[in-house]
Amino acid sequence: MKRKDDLVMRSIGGDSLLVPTGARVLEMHGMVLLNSTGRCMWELLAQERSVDELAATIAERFDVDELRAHADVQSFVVEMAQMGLLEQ
Amino acid sequence: MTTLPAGYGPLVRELPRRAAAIRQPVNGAFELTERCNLSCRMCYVRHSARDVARRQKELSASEWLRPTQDAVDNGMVFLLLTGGEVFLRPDFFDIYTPLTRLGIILTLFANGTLVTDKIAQRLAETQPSLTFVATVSSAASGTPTGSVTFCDGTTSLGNETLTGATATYTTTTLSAGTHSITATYSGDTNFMASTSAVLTQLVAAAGYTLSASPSSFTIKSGSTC
Repeated sequence: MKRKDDLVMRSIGGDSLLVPTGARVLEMHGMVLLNSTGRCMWELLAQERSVDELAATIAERFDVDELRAHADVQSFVVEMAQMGLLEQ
Repeated sequence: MTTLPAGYGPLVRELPRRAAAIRQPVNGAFELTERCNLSCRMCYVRHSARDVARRQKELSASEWLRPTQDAVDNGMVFLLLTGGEVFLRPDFFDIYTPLTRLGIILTLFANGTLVTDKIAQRLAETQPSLTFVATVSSAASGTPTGSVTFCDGTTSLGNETLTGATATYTTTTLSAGTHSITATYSGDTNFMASTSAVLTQLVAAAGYTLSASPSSFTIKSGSTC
């Protein structure tokens, strides 16, 4: 999977936002606020990634074991997919 | 760092506060023209629509793009396009459309009188957020305090604290169709509670038209419309 390219990552005071562009504004009706792990995953998803790849990177960069990282990544990608923000 | 609020309105108010803490210029407001087809007494940007000298001083669409990109590069996330009346400019969409691709949250201030079906259709394709502004007015001196509750019919949309005499509610979640918006002022020890007249807001979606009448609320202290 990888991210769709009609959202722009913006930073406000240390927080990370995904702001829709063009016609995507109609579908999202808002914006997505990401924490630091969410931002990390979104940046990784610029290229094609599997859940295992994402989880391994999260476990490496953040203080979390692989099992927990895998569960968190799975939850994240499901939520992003439900919002239509990922290409499967 | 405190937890961010969940609602859209509280969130877009909290984020600029956080940005201010690191001196990030997160809000922008561009006056695309000083000209307007109306001449409302309380407005300070209402030169004649036919004022050729003013029109010639206006930046072209391409000239707007560079300062906009500079502002975005320096942290601007929220941008208000206002005037004057923005739809006096025949090149409005030459300015607006590129902005919709920059990752900024756009708000338009317009008086609604120049919104044609064609303009409504183009706005429907790339929507700005929708902003309602309530102004509490009174013949008495002093500044009203308290809050204003914005309702869609009987459904409360949000409660906003007055800043000066105005309260602003922004949303991107109203569904397509007609909405009857009212604003109710809470009142304080010096100013009586009151409710605005109904604003009829037609939210655009593909194939719909867009209109607002009136374009903003004025709540007179003590009135019960």
